[in-house]
Amino acid sequence: MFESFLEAELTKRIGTPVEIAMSDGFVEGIITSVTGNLLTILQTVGYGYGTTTTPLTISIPAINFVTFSPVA
Amino acid sequence: MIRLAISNEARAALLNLLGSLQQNLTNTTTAATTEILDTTTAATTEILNTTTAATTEILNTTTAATTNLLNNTLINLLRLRLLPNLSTLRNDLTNRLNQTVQLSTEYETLSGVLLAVLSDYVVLAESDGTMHFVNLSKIETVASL
Repeated sequence: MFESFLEAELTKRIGTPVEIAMSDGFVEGIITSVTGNLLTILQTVGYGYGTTTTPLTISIPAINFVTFSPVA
Repeated sequence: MIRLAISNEARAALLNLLGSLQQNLTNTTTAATTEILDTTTAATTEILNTTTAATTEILNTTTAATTNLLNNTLINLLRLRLLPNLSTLRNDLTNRLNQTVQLSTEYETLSGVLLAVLSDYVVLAESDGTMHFVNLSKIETVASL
């Protein structure tokens, strides 16, 4: 059901809205790509890191957790 | 029995006719047999070709799939070796599968049902359907609720 590695599981969910918590911050966006241990998202809410206009690349090992909300 | 008196010429002509009838029959049979043989050979060749093609395809697909599987297994093994040793934490969490647990990370403490424990992350589900994929290496404390 779930992939063995977070990287593979996130690759399956490209295009899905996510919330990503790092040790000192939190971002919301849509997964656009997963390359190696790097995750790229397009932020939908403009707080945390970066802006909503440029993609944000996150190191997967730095992620505390990834949250998927149920589809409304 | 009816006997017909025929002349020698008529008898010869009749015999001739009989002979040509036999020849015709032989020719037709030969032609039909040759045709059947040809058709059978063509059909057999086609079946053989199709079978060969199908077998080659299956072999290729199987070889490709096996190579992929082997490569993936190798990559996963290498990664597992490179990961910090989280097996104790993973074992502890595996024992709490399907239980309601509280996991703390540096950012936040999460509560929910522990759905799965994978190689480098765990899946936590809240009652409203929200799913958290928590990085194993970022888990600080574990408690069952």
